[in-house]
This record gives sequence, C-alpha cells and structure tokens, in this order.
Amino acid sequence: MLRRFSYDFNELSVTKSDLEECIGIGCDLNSFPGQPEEALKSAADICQIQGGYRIFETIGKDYKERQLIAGEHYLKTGRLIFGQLAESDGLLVFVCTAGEAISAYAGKLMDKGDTLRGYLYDVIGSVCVEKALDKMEKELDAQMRKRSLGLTRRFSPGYCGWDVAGQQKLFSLLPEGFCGISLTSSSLMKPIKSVSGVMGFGSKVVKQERPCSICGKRDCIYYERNSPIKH
Amino acid sequence: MKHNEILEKIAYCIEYGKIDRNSPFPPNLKGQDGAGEYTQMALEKGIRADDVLRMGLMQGMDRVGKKFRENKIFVPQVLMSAKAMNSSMEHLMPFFTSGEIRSKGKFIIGTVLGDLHDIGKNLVSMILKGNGWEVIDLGIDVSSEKFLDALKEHPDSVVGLSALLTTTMANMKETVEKIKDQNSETCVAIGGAPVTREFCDRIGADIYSPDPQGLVDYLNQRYNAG
Repeated sequence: MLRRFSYDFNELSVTKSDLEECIGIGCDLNSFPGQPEEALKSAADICQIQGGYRIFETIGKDYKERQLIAGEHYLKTGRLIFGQLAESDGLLVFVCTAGEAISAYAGKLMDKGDTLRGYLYDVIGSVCVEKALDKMEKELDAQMRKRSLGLTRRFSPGYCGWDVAGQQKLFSLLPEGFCGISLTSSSLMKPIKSVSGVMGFGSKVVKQERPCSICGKRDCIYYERNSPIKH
Repeated sequence: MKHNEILEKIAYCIEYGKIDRNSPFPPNLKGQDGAGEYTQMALEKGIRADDVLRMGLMQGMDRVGKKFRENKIFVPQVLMSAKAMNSSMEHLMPFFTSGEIRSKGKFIIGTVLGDLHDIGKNLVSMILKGNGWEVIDLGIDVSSEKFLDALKEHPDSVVGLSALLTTTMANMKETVEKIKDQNSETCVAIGGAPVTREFCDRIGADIYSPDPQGLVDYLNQRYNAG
C-alpha cells in the first residue's frame, strides 16, 4: 500500500530554538537580530514539503545474513537496525523532502556571499524535513495504536551501520521518482534536503530508545542526542 | 593609532565578525569601523601587507578557530568572521598578485564519495584561508579520481577529506590509498564527526583533527609556516 502526504511549512511550527538546537547546543541566534525570523517567515513560501511511504504488512527475516525481506527484495540494514526491527511483523518504507527550492535558494545566497543567510536557509531545510517526519511518525503511531500495533523508531541508510548504498535497495521498493526524489549513482538523494528510511511495526513492537548504548560508537554525532537532524 | 593597535583592531574585528562600518553585526559594534576599514588604514599607514596578513588576519582567525574548538562560538559566528576576513583580503589581493604576500601552500579539500555534508568542509576551508592557505574546494560527493586529477594539476598540495557518515568512511580509505599509491609523500588530512585518530592511523592518512584549528596547527608545524 502506497501513501503520500504534503505539509504546509507553517503547520510544522519550526522555531528559532529548533534552528539553534540543530546548529549546536549552546548556540544563540539572538546576536543576529531579525535574521532567523525573516528566514523562517520566507521559508514558508520556499519549502515544498512532501513525502510518502509504502507499507509491507508482512516481512520475512533472514537471521543468518541479518536481512529483512520485503516482497522480493532483501534489505541488509546491518546488525544494529536488524536487531531493532527483529520484533516487527511489517515494514514501512518512507521518504520525505523539503523540495529543491530551499537548497537552491540557500546555495544562491551563499554564492552571492550572503553566507549566514544561506546557512540559515540550509538549516531550515534540514529541520523542516525532520519535523515533517516527526509529524508523519506521530500520525502513524496513532494509526498503529488503533490496530493494537507498535511502531519502531526511524532508521535511515548511512546511519547506525546501514551502508549508504542501501539507498538503492530502499528506493527499489518505491515507484521511480516517488515524491519527486531520485538517487544519484553514489546513492545521494536529490533534492538534497530529503530523508529516507524504514520503520517496523507489529504487535510485539515497543518503541525503543536510540540504540546508542548497543552501537558503542561514542564519536557518532547522534550519540545519545535526542534530535536526529542531519545537515 | 599605533601600528600594533591597528593590527589588533583587525584581529579583533575578524574574531567578532565585524565586516565593515555598515555591517550591523555584532550589535555592540554597530556603526564602528570593521576589518575592511582597519585593513585599508593599516596599508595607508605603511604597514607591510605581509604583516597585516600574519599579525591581523591570521591572529583573528586563529582565535576564531580556538573558540570554535571550545564550543564558545558556532557556525554562524564563524561565517561572519570569514566574511570579515574576506573584507580584509580584498585589500590584500593586489599584494598576493604582485608576489609580496605568498600563500603557505595549496590545500585540496572535498567531501568523499557518497556524502553530501559540506558545512564542516566549508568551515575548514574558511579557517585555512584565514591562515594563509590557498584552498581548492572540490565540493561534495567527490570520487577518488577527482581528488587524483586535482593533485595532478596541483602536485604539491595537501589533501583534506571530509565525511560525516560512518558508512562513507570506507570511501575515505579508498581515496587515501589511491593518493598514497600515486605519491606517498602527499600529506592527507581527514576529518568529520565519525572519524577518529585510530581510523586515521589504520588507513594511512597523515593527520586527523577533531576541529579545523588542530589541522592548522599541524600544517603550520609540518611546513614550518606558523
């Protein structure tokens, strides 16, 4: 089953604090009076937030190779994510993007030498994709609860030991150009401000904390961090 | 104003990202001269361009690098400092062209194949430029071949590889191997959130630094360019 969604930037309630959190704990944008506010205001007309997902009601598991089997496709997510999805009966494969325009605008500003404003728009692009996915996840959580099912966290290729080349497999589970997102040969998504990933669901699934304690990569930027924003 | 006071003003303006008189940032320096005006003043007062670079610009960027390392400032402040530095650089450009000022060397930089994260790479570029290096930025998602081509064009350059994903660190390894195969003398620096000193040793790179300033310190020592 395939579903699509789109959100208006304003319904994601992106705030200056969200930007500060994304930039770094302790960052204070008050020394740039008006700039974050202005960027947030105009980003509403620039961001084109859309996404979608495909639901596999049942999946298989190859415990020996630690692979998930969705339809005819094998997803080698790595030991850590496979473990997190072990209790799942089904799989949800998702993508979401803030659109091409926000990165293009940020790039244009940076090329013109307006680096701070360019950077702020770039951060807004990152933040709004993550907030859109938070909203999607919240909505899915509610839907799953109605079916007495639990939903796992989101996991993406490139993180928690899942090879970024896994993007190719993940995208093969979705229609070509789904939600306007495509892959380069080196597995990067276009538009740049896009996120892809999977979530498991099932009757035994309970949402776990971030698996940092199992991973052991203490130098990972997302280690025990609450916000998984990438930029 | 004495020469050393002007140079300190330049360093201060760069440290705090004061570009010029018209720049509203930082708010407490609004309406005051910035790096651009003080650099012009320094040259008009007969201070050697090389001294302006080393005792003004580089001093300022050195402080920025250290504060960024200590999480006292963040990317937005570094960007403003880089803009202030560029404002000074505009006045110094003719002296680079005439050969009165020489760069410390060339630094080829890029984010490795499969990785699109460029903020860290850009910060390193800015801080290196501010410390007198000529930076050749290859961008993001850069293949080993592209690094090798750039090295052929600029054979004595240092190469810097950036990665933010643990999974693209493998591409870093491949690129380091190919560079070292071509010329074992080429200095290769690596950086990025998941990279460690142990990984650097394992793949045969020359230097890993968790922050741009560490790289600057290393290069200054290695090339006696402090």
